Amino acid sequence: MIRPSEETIKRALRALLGAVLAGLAILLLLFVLSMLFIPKNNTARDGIIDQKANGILGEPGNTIDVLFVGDSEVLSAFSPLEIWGEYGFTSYDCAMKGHRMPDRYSLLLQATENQKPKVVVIETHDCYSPFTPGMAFIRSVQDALPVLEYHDRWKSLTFADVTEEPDATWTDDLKGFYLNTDVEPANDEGHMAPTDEVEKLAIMNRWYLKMMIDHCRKIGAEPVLVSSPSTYNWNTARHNGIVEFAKGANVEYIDLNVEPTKVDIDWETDTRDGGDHLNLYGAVKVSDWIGKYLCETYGLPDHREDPKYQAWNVALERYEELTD
Amino acid sequence: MNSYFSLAFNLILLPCTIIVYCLAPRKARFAVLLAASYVFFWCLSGALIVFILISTATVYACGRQMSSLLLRRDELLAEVSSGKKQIKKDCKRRMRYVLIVGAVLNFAMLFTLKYLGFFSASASSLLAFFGFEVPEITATIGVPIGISFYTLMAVSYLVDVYRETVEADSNIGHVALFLAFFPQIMEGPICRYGQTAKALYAGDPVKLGNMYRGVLRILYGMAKKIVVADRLNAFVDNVFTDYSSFDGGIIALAAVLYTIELYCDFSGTMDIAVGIARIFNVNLPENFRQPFFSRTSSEFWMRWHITLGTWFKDYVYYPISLSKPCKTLTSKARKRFGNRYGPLLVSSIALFVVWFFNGLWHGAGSQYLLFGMYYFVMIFLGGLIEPLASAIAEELHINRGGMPYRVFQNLRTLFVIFAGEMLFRATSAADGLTMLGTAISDFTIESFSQGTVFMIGVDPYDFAIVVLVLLAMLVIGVIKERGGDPCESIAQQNDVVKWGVLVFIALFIIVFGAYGPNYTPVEPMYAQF
Repeated sequence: MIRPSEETIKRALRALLGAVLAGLAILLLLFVLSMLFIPKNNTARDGIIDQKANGILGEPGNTIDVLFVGDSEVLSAFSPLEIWGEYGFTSYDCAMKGHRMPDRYSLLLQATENQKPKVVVIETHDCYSPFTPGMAFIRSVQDALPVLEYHDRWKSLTFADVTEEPDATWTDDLKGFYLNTDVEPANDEGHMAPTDEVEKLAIMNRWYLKMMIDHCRKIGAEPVLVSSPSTYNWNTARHNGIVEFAKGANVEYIDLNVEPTKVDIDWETDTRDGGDHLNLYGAVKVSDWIGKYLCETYGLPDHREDPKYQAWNVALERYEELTD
Repeated sequence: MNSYFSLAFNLILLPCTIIVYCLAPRKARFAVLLAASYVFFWCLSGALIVFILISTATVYACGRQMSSLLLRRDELLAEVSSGKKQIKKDCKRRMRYVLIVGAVLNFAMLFTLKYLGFFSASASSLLAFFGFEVPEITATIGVPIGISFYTLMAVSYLVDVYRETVEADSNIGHVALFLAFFPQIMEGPICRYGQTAKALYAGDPVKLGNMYRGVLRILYGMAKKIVVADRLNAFVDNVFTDYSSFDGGIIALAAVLYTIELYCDFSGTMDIAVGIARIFNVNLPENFRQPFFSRTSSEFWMRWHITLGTWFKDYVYYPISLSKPCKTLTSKARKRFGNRYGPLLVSSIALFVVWFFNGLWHGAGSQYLLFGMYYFVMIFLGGLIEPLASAIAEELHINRGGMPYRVFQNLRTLFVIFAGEMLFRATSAADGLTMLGTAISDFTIESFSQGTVFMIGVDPYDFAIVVLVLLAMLVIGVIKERGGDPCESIAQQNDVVKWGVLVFIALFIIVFGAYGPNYTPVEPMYAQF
């Protein structure tokens, strides 16, 4: 075997050192750029992606009792102000349309940085939404280096981006809820027909769900799995899959599609897109049911008379104007 | 993993291949490249990998068969003293049968998988016009990635063995790697066996210099694709999908932007292919040579998708124009139309065939056939009017070698290119012609003066970045045109400059790349051909 000359070894080491230093320089510069590019407030004008979901970051610290996390099913089914008006505890829809579990987990971590919810309701629909390891990887890298997510902000950078610290002052009047009164009836024939079939969770989805549950327990919140009513997205095989998972993870599971926890949805009037998502009328029914259940089961406090929460009463007034 | 731009490719497949390649004994390295190539192919096309395996097996078998015929011929020639000519003739005839079998098998797969639906639909419409109802046949199995590229490579290998310019390889693994080498399988370049095969299976070690040059070239390609092509995609897509909503000025701009998008996407992918191959000490042929500096349409095609052009030249144009019937026709035409126009008219037969198949190669659609015919007409007319142009220039005392005339030629060619790409990108031939008509008859700068041009998916900032990168590409192009090699010049700088350039390009792509929720990346266009 020919031994490489000293000069060759030297050159190789120098190149290796160059590559390592270049890699470190890229990381360091990305870190610096991240500080510059990260939106300095939680509004779309400041560059935040999905202002509505990020409204949770603007809520005063430790004021939210319940977080609803998930995808578009959450923001169509749970109306925090409906719950506030009826039961007096605070909640927030921490969800984005087309959310995948890594995004959901990331938002949960951010939301619980300054909130200590008593209950975290994890909607189960996107437990079955597929995602690739690449998507999970990208989410993690974007969380560590926000410039990768907010790189397009070079178009709107100002001097304030250099001097200001990131903050979150904006809150959503509807507390993340998507108010929609469209009606497109659904055919619910055969919906939740009995079967022994079990749709198992994919490994990555199971892993992320477990991490979310563990995080909830770590911060002292009770995790509850909830399947919101949907003829399009939910079926008995999925129900069975979550029942099996919930048993293994020792976590409570409520399926609002089946007895005894079924919410009486009228599929002629309570859905906006043929059974995929609920509209306001369906959301009112679901919010009433879940509000009552959480209030009774977890003894959530009534803040309606508390002067610290008067902003919620003001928001409720505006909500009632919109929904009347 | 769906392209050279996916994370899985860049963070898993490529690094793993390099590491395993380095650790493997030299003789086994080609197997590492072959395994990586098949993994990549499987990720993109799944079970359709069977078609490239069939291609490999048929090409290998036909090559071996021709090789044994040659061996037998040489034995016979050594044994006999007379009748050598007949022996050679017999051998050539038998080899031709083998070549035809191999080529037909491979083209049949390409035709069935890619063109059957188009031709069936066209035939069905034609027959319906005459009152015959014939159901359309549609191939539902899908099209394997790169079939148009590897089929041409497979056939070129067989023809080269037939022509005795290369020897048939006795190792099926070598042939397999030649056809499936992962950096080139998606979009080419269309290599000849003699160009790359030896380097592919030589198993040369990964050298630091090659690694640096390869990575630099990869980053340059990524910048073109991610910063420019993906940024322009929204504008191009919006205009071409709904062209009736836009005026001629916007449609003309869309044609220009589409040409830039296509160039940055395709040549960017080529940079990546060449860069990856370079890491393994394989020099893939270049597919682009500053095409927008061309002064005529035919020059453009000598600088754009070079390997496709040379394939058609070597395996279609020359065989037709040098065939006996064409030669006979040329001498007759020469007598009738003179020494200039006679051969020109006859060579137009070969030119027509080339451009018919060139158009068809790009896709099963009327717009591609129109695109091919467009360039046939342009190149043929170019040859036809050349004496007239020369006479006019002489009459007007125009110096055809001077800069002003060269600029005029360049601008004229750019116009031809943009119009051609408009036909190419349109959803059908009829749409393409309508768009071309609108761009000319309804040309206005109203959308530009009113600023509506910035509301079609690309804002002023995006345009600024595109212009910046294009200027950088122009400078690089000028240096290359003058014989320089910017990549080599950078590689020879001191370490700080060398690594600094890499860091700069990487950060530039990260910050100014058109990725994320505000952009829709371009589908790898040539991968669909």
